[in-house]
Amino acid sequence: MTVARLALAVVFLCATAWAETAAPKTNARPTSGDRIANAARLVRVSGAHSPAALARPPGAQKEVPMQEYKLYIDGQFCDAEGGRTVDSINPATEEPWARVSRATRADTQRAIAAARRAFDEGPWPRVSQADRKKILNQIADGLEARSQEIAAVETQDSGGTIRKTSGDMMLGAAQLRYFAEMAEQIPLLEEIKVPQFPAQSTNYLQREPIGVCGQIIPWNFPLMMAVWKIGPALCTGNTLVLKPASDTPCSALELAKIIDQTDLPKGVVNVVHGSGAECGEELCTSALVDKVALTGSTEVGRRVQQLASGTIKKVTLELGGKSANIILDDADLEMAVDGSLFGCFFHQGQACESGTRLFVSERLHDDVIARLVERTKTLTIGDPMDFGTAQGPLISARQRETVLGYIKAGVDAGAKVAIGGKRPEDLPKGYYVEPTIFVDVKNDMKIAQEEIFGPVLVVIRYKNIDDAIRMANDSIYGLGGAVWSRDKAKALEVAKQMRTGTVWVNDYHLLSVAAPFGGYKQSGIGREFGLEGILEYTEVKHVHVDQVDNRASKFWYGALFGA
Amino acid sequence: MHIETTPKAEDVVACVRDAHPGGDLVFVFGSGCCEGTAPHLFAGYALTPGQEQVGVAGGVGVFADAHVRRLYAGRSVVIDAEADPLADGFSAEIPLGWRFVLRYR
Repeated sequence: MTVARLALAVVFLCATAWAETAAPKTNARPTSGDRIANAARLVRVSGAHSPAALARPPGAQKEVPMQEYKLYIDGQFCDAEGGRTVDSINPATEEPWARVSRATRADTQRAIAAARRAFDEGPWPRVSQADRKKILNQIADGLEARSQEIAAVETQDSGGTIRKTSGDMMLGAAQLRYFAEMAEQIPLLEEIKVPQFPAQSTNYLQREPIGVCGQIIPWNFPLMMAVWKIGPALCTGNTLVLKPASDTPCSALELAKIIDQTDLPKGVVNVVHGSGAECGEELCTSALVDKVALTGSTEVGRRVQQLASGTIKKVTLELGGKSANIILDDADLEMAVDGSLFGCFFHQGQACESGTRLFVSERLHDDVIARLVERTKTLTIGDPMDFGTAQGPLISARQRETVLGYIKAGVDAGAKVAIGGKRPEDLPKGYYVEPTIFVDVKNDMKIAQEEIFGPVLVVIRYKNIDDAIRMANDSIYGLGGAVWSRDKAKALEVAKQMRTGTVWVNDYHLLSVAAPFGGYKQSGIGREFGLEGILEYTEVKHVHVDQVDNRASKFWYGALFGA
Repeated sequence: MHIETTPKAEDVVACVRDAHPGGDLVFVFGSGCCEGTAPHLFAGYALTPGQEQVGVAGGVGVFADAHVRRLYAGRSVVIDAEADPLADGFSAEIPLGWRFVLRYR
């Protein structure tokens, strides 16, 4: 399959990740005094490292020197306060491959101040829509020109296969072009028809940028998530501070290099790499920030919303999911089986809309399981820099241990592993987990209720369609989902009853930049993409222009002055 | 649901308390997405009506919503801590270079 076809087929999403279980790294018990040592461990001075063992770009054999990345604040690439850095780990090799400045709260405050100045005093909120379009297209041009190079950066930083990251670059550029087009097309001024009593007036709805936006993105689609956040914010004249995930800052900082070469005024886009507890918390609490947008976990979303409530910020949240995928009895099984595996195993299951609960009727169950297992055997696991690889590593050791913990929980609860269920024996290095399918799963099991965020598909039997819909909706989440059937009318009827933000009929993962994406229930607030997503970055002002034009006719002033 | 705490986790809680003098600390759990049901330690957290106290860790109340209480009903879970310079959550131990994790009995 060509990259171009993959780019059309690929879609992508969310989530930050922190593990709930992981092998202990140290037995040392920390004391208050250890805090200094801990801080010292975070500060690794450049030059004190050994040569990085990098994944190879296609065709290359030589080792590449350690890459270095700095923060991007007020149009400058700069060190973090005190020169603090941290090493980014290549998930395929478990070796550091890049050294990245690690922002403190003070660095984040500097970035926020720059964005504030750029909004309050700079030209960006007031430039023409045509100029916004031009600059967004400049960013898209830059991304296209460097797409293969940045895809390789992202594969080393995230473990996403080069197939996937190459598609992400092309999609990211295409999405930027959509936001460029919309920058010119969105109606910033619309007349409102209001009753002409008591006053005669002309009334307008005026859309304006919100101001400074704090944007927190996850590690699963690092470049695309940056585009999803930066695109609509710039499209509508906002300024921003972007916080990429700790595990995957490098492609977003490459995007900052591209942005730095465009005509975008300095300070409009700032990128800080740091933890949620320092940088994220500052973005959520600063009185200088007007809006916070997060793609991440539901609990972090709840925390973000709480912190943002102090200054009543606008908040949009794109959170977790445990999406249901329902195969009806009349489905084209060749398509439904491959589509269901694509829906779950794409990017090792590290997409928030992944179809991780597969509902199959009693009648089809054994046939579908046999087909799923056979097709899963064809998936190659290995070096993500190899275009022949279907499944790369997970993002981190902690994520791998989390996923293996879920697999154990499934077995302990009585579910059976039909294929996979462990680390690949031939890949001792790298955070790999085999694509895993569970059968004999009940919908109330832990593995059916929680977002595993790994290559784990659970198959649940249903008795009839109502039973399938009831179980599909029995989740605290509602982000994605799919129905497979040759009878599209029947599939649409099922889709209508699913309490979820996106439903595919006979497909999966295909998100469109022109269609809204977001969650029902605890999967989020607000939408990204489409006009709905863009308008999340606007304030609405009502302007009333009096057409009475004389005091004597304004009888309503009598409410104060008397008749 | 029964909460146990490792000595290391208790020490990390003490470090967080030093960093947040007077801070009103609580432990809550992830709701089973992305980071699973990992423990989060927050200062100034507004508990929801559905979150009930299920234990104490390092002198800090541990609260869980119905979803987590149901998942671990009748089971013991252990709050532990690991060094992790790349942890990325909002939990209060992360700036100190640590991360709380949940282990199961």
